[in-house]
Amino acid sequence: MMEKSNTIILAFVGKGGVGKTSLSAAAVRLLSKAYPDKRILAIDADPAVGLATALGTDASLTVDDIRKAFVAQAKKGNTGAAVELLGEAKYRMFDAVAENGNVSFLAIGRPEGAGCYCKVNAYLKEIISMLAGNYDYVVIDGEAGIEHVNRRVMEKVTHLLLISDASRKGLQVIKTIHAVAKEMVMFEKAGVIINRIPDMSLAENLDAGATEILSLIPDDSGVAMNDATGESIYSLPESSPLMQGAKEALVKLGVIQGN
Amino acid sequence: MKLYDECFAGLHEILKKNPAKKLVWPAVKWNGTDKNKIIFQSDAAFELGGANLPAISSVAFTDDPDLVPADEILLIGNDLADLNGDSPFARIAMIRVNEDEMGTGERLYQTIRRIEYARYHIHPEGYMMRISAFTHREAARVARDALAKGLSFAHVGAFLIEEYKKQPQVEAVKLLFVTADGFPYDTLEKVMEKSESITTALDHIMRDIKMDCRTCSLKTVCDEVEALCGKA
Repeated sequence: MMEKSNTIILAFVGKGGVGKTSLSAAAVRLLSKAYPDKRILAIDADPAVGLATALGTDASLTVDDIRKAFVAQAKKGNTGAAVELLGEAKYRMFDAVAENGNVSFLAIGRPEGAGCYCKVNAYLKEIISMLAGNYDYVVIDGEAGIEHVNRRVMEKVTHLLLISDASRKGLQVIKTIHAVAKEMVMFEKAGVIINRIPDMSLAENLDAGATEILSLIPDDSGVAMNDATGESIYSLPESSPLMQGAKEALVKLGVIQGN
Repeated sequence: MKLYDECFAGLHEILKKNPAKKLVWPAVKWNGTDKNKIIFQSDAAFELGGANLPAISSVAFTDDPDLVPADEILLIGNDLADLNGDSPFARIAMIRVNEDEMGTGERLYQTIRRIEYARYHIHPEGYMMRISAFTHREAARVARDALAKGLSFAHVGAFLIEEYKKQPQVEAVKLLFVTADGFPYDTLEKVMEKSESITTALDHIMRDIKMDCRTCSLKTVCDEVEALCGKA
């Protein structure tokens, strides 16, 4: 098992289409600027696999590709000893990590198909945890629920960011995610970001439950333009609603300083 | 322990045509580091066996003191301080064991594997090994700051030999590092493939897998191993 590290791990979760990927990318950009001497690992754990584009990076090999290679070897009867499998996972994981300045990127890929790969997942998670322990900050663009992050990426995060749009369904999803995460003791701090609010007059009536609302972000046409043109988060002005909202959230969580 | 004699003969031929220099045993032991510490690309001076260059690693066993008289570290090519970028790489451990202590059957196989796994347990500061048992590749990232402090193959070799010798069956280790550009890596790989086949065949025989030997790719090696073990 990994020794306890001081790595700050932020996981962005919520239902699909609420802007988790844009907010994860914004968090990476803010952390990279706030701490140029620190190392940041961005993990794309969303099956939609959009964080690479949002960060302007590339992922030629994903953790799922590694998983498939393991399973293919096992089917050939080459299971290997535990020490060999861990070594193998480590060997391949370094090929999957794309380094760019103080930011590294790792894509988890699409969830596995039928069959139980618990043992393989355990080895891969062990190596992801080992990798993460070498970084100061880890930002995870997660699937809908924290249990998916737990199963495929990391046992525990330090900061859980629950992302919703202004819809009742989106808000209900984050309440459920929060309840599950609390029960499984998977985080130290949590907060809500409500994104893509079509009309800010709705803001005071939005019910996010008992969790602190970190920021309310109006619908940002600049983000939609970025998505349409395939531009990265770095082409978005710092003054854009998304960047400002992400910054407000990270400041409230104490992850970065204000001003 | 005649099983690997053919590997030693092949190695001997290669070394005759490509002489190795003997490195001086380091006066001071190099520092170890946390097993989970990684060397980032941005902190690495180069990677031995990086960028799809040869990255060969293998082990051969003997009980013959003429083949492995004492602990020694050999090098063909440049030492770490003289490399300017990613380099082809090979690391071969020739290990003299006390045959009486090796055991037979499953115990022999497990002892061999346990000795081989020593490479997973060494973590010299600034030298990060990347090992793929599936593809039989062993690469290593070398940190710039470690080179500045004087890291050399002698330091890494001493680490490895010390780890191999933690197994009571190991009496002496001759460790060969290769980084030379014109070295016949293909030939070395073919010679050492035999070593892995022998170890795999040992496991294969001991597990008494029921299968059609006529169609098995390991049949030739199994026959040789059985003959050498006195079972044929």
